[in-house]
Amino acid sequence: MKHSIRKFLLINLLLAMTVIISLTAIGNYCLDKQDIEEHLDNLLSQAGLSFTAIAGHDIQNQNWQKLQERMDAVPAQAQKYMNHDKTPEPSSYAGKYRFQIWGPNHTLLLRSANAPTTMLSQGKFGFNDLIINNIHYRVFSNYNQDTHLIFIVAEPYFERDQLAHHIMIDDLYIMLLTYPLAGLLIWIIIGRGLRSLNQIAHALTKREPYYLESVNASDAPLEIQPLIQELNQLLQRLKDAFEREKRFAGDAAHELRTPLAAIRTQAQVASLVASSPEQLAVMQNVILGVDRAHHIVNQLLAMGRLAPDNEHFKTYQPCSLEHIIQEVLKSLSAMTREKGICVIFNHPPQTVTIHGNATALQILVRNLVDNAIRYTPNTGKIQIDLKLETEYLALTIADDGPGIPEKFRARIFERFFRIFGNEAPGSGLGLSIVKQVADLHHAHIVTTETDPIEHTGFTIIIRFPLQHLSE
Amino acid sequence: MRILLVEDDELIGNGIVTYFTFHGDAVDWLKDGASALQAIKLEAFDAIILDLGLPKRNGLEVLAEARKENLKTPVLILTARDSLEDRVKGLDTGSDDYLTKPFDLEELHARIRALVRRSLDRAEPTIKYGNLELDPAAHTMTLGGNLVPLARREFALLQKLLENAGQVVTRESLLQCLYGWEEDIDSNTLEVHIHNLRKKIGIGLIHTIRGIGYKIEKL
Repeated sequence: MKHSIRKFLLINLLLAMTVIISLTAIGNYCLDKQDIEEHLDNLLSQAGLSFTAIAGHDIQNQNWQKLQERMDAVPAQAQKYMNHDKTPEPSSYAGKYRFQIWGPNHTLLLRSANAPTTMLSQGKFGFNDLIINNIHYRVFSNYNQDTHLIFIVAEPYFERDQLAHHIMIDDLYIMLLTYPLAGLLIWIIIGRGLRSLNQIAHALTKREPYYLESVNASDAPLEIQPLIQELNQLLQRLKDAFEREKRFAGDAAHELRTPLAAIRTQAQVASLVASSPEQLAVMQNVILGVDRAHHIVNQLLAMGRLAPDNEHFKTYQPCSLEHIIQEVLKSLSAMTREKGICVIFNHPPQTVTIHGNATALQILVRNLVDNAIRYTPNTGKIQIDLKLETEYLALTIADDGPGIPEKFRARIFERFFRIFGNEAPGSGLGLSIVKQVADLHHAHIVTTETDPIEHTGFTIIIRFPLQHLSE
Repeated sequence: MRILLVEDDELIGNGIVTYFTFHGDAVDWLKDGASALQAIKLEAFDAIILDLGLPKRNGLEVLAEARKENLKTPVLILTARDSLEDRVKGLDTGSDDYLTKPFDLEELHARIRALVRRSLDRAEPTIKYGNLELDPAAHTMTLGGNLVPLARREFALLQKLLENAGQVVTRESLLQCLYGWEEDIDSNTLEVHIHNLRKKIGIGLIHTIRGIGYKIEKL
């Protein structure tokens, strides 16, 4: 499964954040709760002592019955002030105190409306925790020795804890709100961090398939430097391998040429001292054979050089096919004159250029024209047409020769393919080189016969795209 | 002409030597770079045919060092390396011509003749001296328009003397021009050739400088 560094980091960082924030929230909750307890205890004791102080000494003369009635009316009165807020949500936590005043002999003299009637104390004065009717209370009680009264203020824990709960819930809200923001920031920061990686990837994808120069690592972050170094070493090894292969072709050609030169030289010396016309003819044939072998070596070498990894043939520039054809015709004019062949060359009035490699194109044209001359009988005709079509520049070369039977036409571009009984000298490589050059230029080849009625003559049409490099 | 051939291939070297000798040239044949460099420093040649892939010192090294020593002799590189870079490199290192194997002996000989002619600062392919005309390509000599048959060595001798008209050419350099380093040469061979030559072109042309060599006056 493919995974993205960005996603991985995002998810894991957010998870880590969750853990850290949760722990922080829990820690805060515990610490805050202690502080709050202390604070509330302080308020509770102050309230209790204040009640005692307000009650004073002449407490025996109080009409307890009347006071109790007033006390019972307090919640309704309080509700009046709070009428805007129906929920009994305590805005003041100290306002919910229950209090009781107990006289001697355990008589309940006075209690707040929300206080139970059982005594909220177990006889111990000061702070106390106790459970009455399943409600957990925090209690502060004190005994007035002058009046012999017990003052009790109590607060249920479920109310006391509300503040701490609120603080924790607020923390959680803040945490939840920070999540999307943190995610977004992490996403952007990681993206920036990975930008150089993207740039390198982009530079690599834009490369030509056989461009093997090393990648410039100077701008890359330290973390991916080793990766780039490895990549560069790999590229270097590839380049060396290509280089060796290329050198092998050159070396092989060299090794073949030297013995050929030796045979040719010896044959020439032999024909120099030949004593009879027969001997001379034999030696001339040896020389012809050597020349043919030499031609094959050259074609093989050309083929090796045309391999797509070759730097030399990858440099494309605007080329004029018309110009190349003229050059080739000039260089082959001796051959055409010797056979009395008439060459007709039609081309568009304006010069049309295609993007290509001039050397390779010259090899292509030369091989085709050379073939045409070879197979055209004496005083025959070769017609070369350069025609501009909407998206192509079409090169047509038609000869007067015997043509190629349709069943063989598909195979003529194979290496070393020769039609049985064909006596014209050749390497069997010429047309495969033509095909190679055409492929290099993304050109299409069509072969047909020159004379469709007599089924003679060979015609080849090569269509070069006018802008293949912009594809 | 006296040619130095540096070629390690037995058959090619042998063929070139036979062909050039047949046409009246003296060819000295060495098979490795180190001895070629030695010979170039010590002896004078009209032209050098140099292979590149040689044992001991490669051809380009030999050429570079010889040129550094201010050697002016024309050099033709004869090699199987035919790439554009190789040819450019060969010419830039100091060769005057570049021929790739396999080659035609006739072409090689013509190129060497052309190189020698140019090195002697002669534009015309034939050598003219009064009513005498020497054609090194066809190996013929005419005297007042009439063809005079000359033996190979007589022709070479006359060519050497005419090319150095006005200077004394020593016996040693004439002998080397005719025979290279062949050792079993009769002591009066040169005199015999001069005698035959004088019979064909007239006695007054070639002067004997006693104890040193021969000379044809500058016109």
